[in-house]
Amino acid sequence: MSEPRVLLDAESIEKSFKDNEVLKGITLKVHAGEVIALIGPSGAGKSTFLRCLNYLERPTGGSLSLDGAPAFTDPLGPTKAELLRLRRRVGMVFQSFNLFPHLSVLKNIVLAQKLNGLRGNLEAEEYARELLGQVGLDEKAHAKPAECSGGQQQRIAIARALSLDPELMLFDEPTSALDPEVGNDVLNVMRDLADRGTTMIVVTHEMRFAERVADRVLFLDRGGILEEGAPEQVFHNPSHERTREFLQAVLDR
Amino acid sequence: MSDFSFVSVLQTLVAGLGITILMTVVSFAAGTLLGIPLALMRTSKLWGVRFPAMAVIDISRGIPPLVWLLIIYYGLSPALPLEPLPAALIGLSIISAGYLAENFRAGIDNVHTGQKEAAAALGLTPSNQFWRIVAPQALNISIPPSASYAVALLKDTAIASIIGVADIIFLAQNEVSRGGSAVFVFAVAAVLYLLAGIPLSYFSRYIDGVVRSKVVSV
Ligand SMILES: Nc1ncnc2c1ncn2[C@@H]1O[C@H](COP(=O)(O)OP(=O)(O)O)[C@@H](O)[C@H]1O
Ligand SMILES: [Mg+2]
Repeated sequence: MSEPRVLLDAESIEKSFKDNEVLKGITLKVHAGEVIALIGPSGAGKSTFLRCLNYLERPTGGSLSLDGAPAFTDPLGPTKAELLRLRRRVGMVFQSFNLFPHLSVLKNIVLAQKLNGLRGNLEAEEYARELLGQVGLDEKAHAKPAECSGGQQQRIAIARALSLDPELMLFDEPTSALDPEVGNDVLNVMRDLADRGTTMIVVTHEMRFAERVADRVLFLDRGGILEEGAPEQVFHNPSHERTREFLQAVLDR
Repeated sequence: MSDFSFVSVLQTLVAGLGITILMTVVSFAAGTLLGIPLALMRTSKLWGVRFPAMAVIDISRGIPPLVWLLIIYYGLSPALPLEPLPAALIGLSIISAGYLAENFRAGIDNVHTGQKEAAAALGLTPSNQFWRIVAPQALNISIPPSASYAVALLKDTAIASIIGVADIIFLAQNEVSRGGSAVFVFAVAAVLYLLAGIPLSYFSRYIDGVVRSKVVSV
């Protein structure tokens, strides 16, 4: 059996805001179909790292490859076309959903497909309905986002990100703004995606979800990966005192 | 013999109501047309674009409306003789452009940054991020204060009487100089402004409600 192909290759990603060095050279290879859980204390740089992977934040060092090909000729000076291409291939789900409030749920999911020339109007709508069905919200197609609960909005945001058929999905604390019961609906959708073989990187404090769904857990601390391994190992047999302290603190909440 | 009955005074002043409404509508429309590009320039990342817009906005709002009208009517007349009405329209349009530009700018600034990020993350070009996502929400946000501004503008047009525009106030002053009781004549003028303002205030409250229920962004 051959090794599964490397989908994302992030090489020594660095990010500084002025003289605040937030990411100190993070290297991560993600295989196709793999689910990575990214955990760590607040301020560790988890969001910043995720945002560097689709260049919402421009790294100050390092390089990205997607499916074996460098995403940028010059990682420090990306061209507009390269940026758009990367973002079309990498979907992102935000903690605060960020649905477009002036558009119907359906249009939220249709818009980027059309503007990216991926599908025509009818096809895009058809696909949007299919995705809404997949996240269990067919009946919300014509609602405005404000008429949906937080959990529903986040599931719509997932459908919206999926509408571009991304090769990699990034989730930044997708349930942190939600009540636990509602959060479970979102986690179920994500687990479903994982079961379908979607490659995902998930920043989360939901340790049970991470333990059950992730293939690999990374513990990010002060801008670097302090520990990584299978969920059993990181959660039940961490090799660093910092990891132990963090897990204890999360359990105590 | 002059007749200063309520009906007679009202009939005289109503003749100026059209001019008052015309000034309000034209300068509001022109202010919108000029205010939108000004607001776009004002939010530019380029200093060379932003600064002139800032200057224009601050000057248009910083000079008292009366002074604007006097400058345009008397100040420009040797070079560019203007009738009172065009002078008033120009002045009020400049002032409206400044206020409305600030409303639009505040609208743009108040669209949550997450909106632009979500659009960027979906591979939208910067121009689509702005026109498809930010601008419609900015417009929604700026409609209620702009509708309130329309009500304020209606009242501000009264200063045009100073340069001789035959609006409600101008005709009221005529009536007074012809011997009408000032308190009575201006009270009738006040009633006319109130009546003209009611639909506007009602509309602005209605718009406010619509926008509030529509743009409840999380
Ligand atoms: N846009 C920004 N400008 C300046 N500093 C930032 C910015 N975004 C994040 N930071 C800083 O980077 C550090 C890591 O933040 P973040 O990636 O959000 O951490 P986490 O998601 O792990 O809680 C924090 O110290 C934060 O203040
Ligand atoms: Mg974060």
